Order: sequence, then structure tokens, then C-alpha cells
Amino acid sequence: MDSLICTAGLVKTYKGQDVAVNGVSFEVKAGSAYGLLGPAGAGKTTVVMMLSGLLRPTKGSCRVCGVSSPDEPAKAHRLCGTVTESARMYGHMTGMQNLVFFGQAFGMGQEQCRERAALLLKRLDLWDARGVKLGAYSTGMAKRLSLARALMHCPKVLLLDEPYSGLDAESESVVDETLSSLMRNEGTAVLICTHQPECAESLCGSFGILNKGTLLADGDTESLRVSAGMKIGAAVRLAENDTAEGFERCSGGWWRTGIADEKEMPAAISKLVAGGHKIFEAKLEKPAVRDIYKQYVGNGGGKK
Amino acid sequence: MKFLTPSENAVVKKDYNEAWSSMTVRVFSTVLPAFTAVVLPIIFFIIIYNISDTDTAAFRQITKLLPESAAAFGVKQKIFYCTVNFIFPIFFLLVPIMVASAVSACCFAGENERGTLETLFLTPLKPKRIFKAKFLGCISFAAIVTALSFAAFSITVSIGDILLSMPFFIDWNWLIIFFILTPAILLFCTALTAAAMCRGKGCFKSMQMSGYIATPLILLFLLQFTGLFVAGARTLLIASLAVALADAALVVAAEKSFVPQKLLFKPVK
Repeated sequence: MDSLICTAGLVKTYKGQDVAVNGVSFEVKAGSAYGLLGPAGAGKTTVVMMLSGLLRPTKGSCRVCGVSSPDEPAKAHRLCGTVTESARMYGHMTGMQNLVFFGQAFGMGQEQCRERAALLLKRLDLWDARGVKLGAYSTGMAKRLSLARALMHCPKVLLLDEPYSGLDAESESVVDETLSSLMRNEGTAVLICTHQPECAESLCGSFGILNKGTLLADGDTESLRVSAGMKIGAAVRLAENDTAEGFERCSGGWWRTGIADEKEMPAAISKLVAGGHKIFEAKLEKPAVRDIYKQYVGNGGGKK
Repeated sequence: MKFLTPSENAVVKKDYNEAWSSMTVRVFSTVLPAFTAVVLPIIFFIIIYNISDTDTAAFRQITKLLPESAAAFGVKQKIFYCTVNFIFPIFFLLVPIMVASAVSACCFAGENERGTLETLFLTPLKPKRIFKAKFLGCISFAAIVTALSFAAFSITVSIGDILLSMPFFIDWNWLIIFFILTPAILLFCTALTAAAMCRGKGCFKSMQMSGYIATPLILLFLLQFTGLFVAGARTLLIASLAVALADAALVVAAEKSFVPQKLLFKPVK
């Protein structure tokens, strides 16, 4: 699979200021999603701005479908759809008018724009609000409309900066369904920059943890867990008065211990059974992305 | 080759609608021209029509500067002539100044403030093309309002001319004002407002910049009442050319600064 999003040694510094992004490198393949996680001010938006060609990197390169965004921004814009918190749409226009206008700005014909807009408005559950002016939209609706705008020209790459902020659970699932369908059916590569790791967990196959402009770790959940030195929890539920040696007592008759790898689980269970313990339930407790993220960034990270 | 691509045309249309949806632009495009092109000339005319024919020393000083063609006019006719040529140009020029400034403040600085300029920069339209489309949209909007205002003004003043048995008011001065000075001012105000936005000024401050062009022009016409000079066709032509030269410099500067990196990104302080 080819990498549709590719950054290599990306650096951005501002005059008289600290480094905003320091040597960030990652790749996102077609049909997959990459979660760039980091607290506010970590440099996520700067990475998106550079990838979308709005900001020129001080050093390094960033490519979208093989096109250098800083050198050929117009070409890159044809290939990617970008949603940032600061990129808004026109409040005096309705949802449909906004989409038609942006479609026309992409060189699409009026009729083609209307058809595509209708499809996206239905898919993102905004069809009933198509004639309402954007000024009257809720935050969640405006966010979904921004996503529809980014999808108007059928991009191969989606760059989404904080796509979940301000969304309710229902809107979140609509967005997730739309994105996973695009990844599955159209092979779209998605970059999700967020400070809410739990939101990106269901979609993203791999993550990068960014803090103060530096990519602290990069990889899938398992490799991030290992590199963070976090253990998997092996939990078993025993009889009421039973005691498991080497395990820590939890509530409800559960006992827990840390194992380095899930392959150690059968051995741990066999040892307990061999010791005469009756096991009613057993489960692996893998750390969630949020826990791994906290391990890297600290408890301040991921604050909503 | 088409002057504007369909995408650029869409931006122009969108800017027209956006400008019209702004209350400030609507007031400047309707109430101001109606007041300066119709209401004020009528008020002035009623006052002049009812004035006594007595000549005063102060008035004689001013009328000395009038052209030979106006020498045979009566007192009322001379006062109306002075009003039409010394005062009404100020009122008339306020329309292109205010409308062009308001429209361009709305379409340049306003768009940046509302965060929609960033979204526009995310389309395949290059910044230069966006600038061109927006610039043409603002100029054409202000030009249409100015032309309509001049038409209304011409009808109003012509009625005054007929009632006072005077020749048609449009002379070389008015031709230069309408065909050279007004387009130069339209360009200047639009470019100045765009340049102000590129220098980080907000919508209101960008619009205030129009004062820089309005003040010297008002002075140019008002100084004629001192009786020291009359802004003839040559003076107006020189003033127009000076504004046109400044236009060229401003347009180049504004277009050069119209890039996402300069406009969108504000480093965290």
C-alpha cells in the first residue's frame, strides 16, 4: 500500500519564538487512519497547516499523494480535504449554498455540486437543515457541514484537525461511520489530529503522540504500549474466599496482575488452575490509547 | 480567453451576496447615495431658489474665480453653479469612497476575521486568483452603486438647471471627476483597505483608512471657498493621476501580501 500522507523531518520555527514543530515524521497509507494525539499547543494544527500547504515548513518535507504541499499547494488542495477549527464557512449562506459554492471553487459544475452536496448532506444527517442558514446551525452541525465541504471534491486524503471537538455522541458516530466508509470503500487516507484519544481510537490503526512540537512515539496501540513500558492486565475472577498468589485483589472477587505480553495469559491461567484455583472468568485488560497517551504526555494531556 | 474562470466568478457572486448581507454595506450603498445624490441637492436647491438676489462683497470675491461662461449668470445661478461645482463633488465622491471602503472591508478583512478566508485558501484557487476575484468584485460593486448614484445626481441637478434656466451642469471638470478621478478613487479605496487587511488591520480599522483619501479631497474642494483658487480640469486631472499612481503601488503591495502564511497565521504570544 502506498503512503498518501508523508512527512519527513518536518520543522516549523517562528521568528523569535520556540520551535512549533520539531522533526516530525510519519506516514499514512491509503485506506487507513492515523491519529496525531497531543495537548493544546503541541503543534498538531501547525502540522495540518503545513500538510495543507497553508504554511511553509522551515525544514523537512510534507507530501500529499506524492505532491509537495508547500511547493504545489493548489495541486495538493485538489487531492486533500482539510477541516480545521479556524476554517469556517459562510454564515449568511445555507448549508446547501455553502457546499455548492465550495464545489464551484473546486471547478465543479452547478448541477454536479448540487448532486454531490445532496449526497453528503444526507450521509452526514444534515439533509433536513439544508435550507437553514449556517448561522443557525449548532456547533456539531457546523462541524459536520465542514466535513461535507472537505468531501465535496472526493479527496483521496482527509486532514482533520480536532474533528470531534464540540460534537455530541450521535454526531461523533455519524462522523465515524462516514470516515470508516470512505476508508473502506474509497481507500481514503485520514489524518486525525485530536486531544481526545478515545474519540480517535475506533478509527485509527496507528497513532503519533506529539508534545511541544516533538513526536514522542509513533506506531500502533501495541507498540506504543510496549514503548511506554505499560503492562497488560491479566484479570481472573475466583471463588469468594480464594486467594491468588502474585495477583492484586480487586473488587467483586477479581484478581489482577501485570503481564508483558498477551502470550503470557494462557500460562498464568494454567498456573492458577494447576494450583487448584477455580477460575470463573478471565480477561485481558489492555491499556486504552488514552492511558498510553497519558503515560507519555502526563495527566494534563487530553483534558477536554 | 475568459476574464474570470467559473471558480473566480463564484467568488465574485459570493462576495456580492456577502457584501449585500452586511448592514453597513447596505446603508452605504442605498441611504448614502440617496442622501448625497438626491436629498442634499434638493435641499440646497430649495434654499438657493428662495434666496434674495442681493449680491454681497464676500460672494463677489468667490465669483471672480468663476469661468467666463458663468460671468453672465444672476446671483441665484452663480450660487447654484458654485454649489454644483464646489460642494456637490465632495458629496458625490463620498459615495465611491465609502462604498468601496465598506465593501472591501467586508470582503477582505471581514472574511479574514470570520475565518472564511482560510477555507477559501483551502480550495485550488491560488491566492493571486482569489485576490483578483475579490478585488474585481469589490470594485464592480462600488462602481455600480457609484454609477447609479451619479445618474440620480445628474437627474436631480439637471432639474435644478432647468428651473434656474442654466446650461447642463456637466463640463470638463465633471467628466474628469466621473471618468478618471472616481475610478482612481475606487481602486485606491479598495486597494488601501485590502492592503490594510494584509497588514493585520481588522474590518473596522480597514474601513477607517478611507479617511486618508476623503480628507485631502474634501479639502481640495472646500479650499475653493477661500476664493484663492478653483480646482479646474487640469488640477483635477493631476489629482486623479496622482491617485492612479498610488493605486498601482497599493495594488501590487496588497497582492504581494495576500498569502495564507501572512494572513492566517498569528504566532502565539
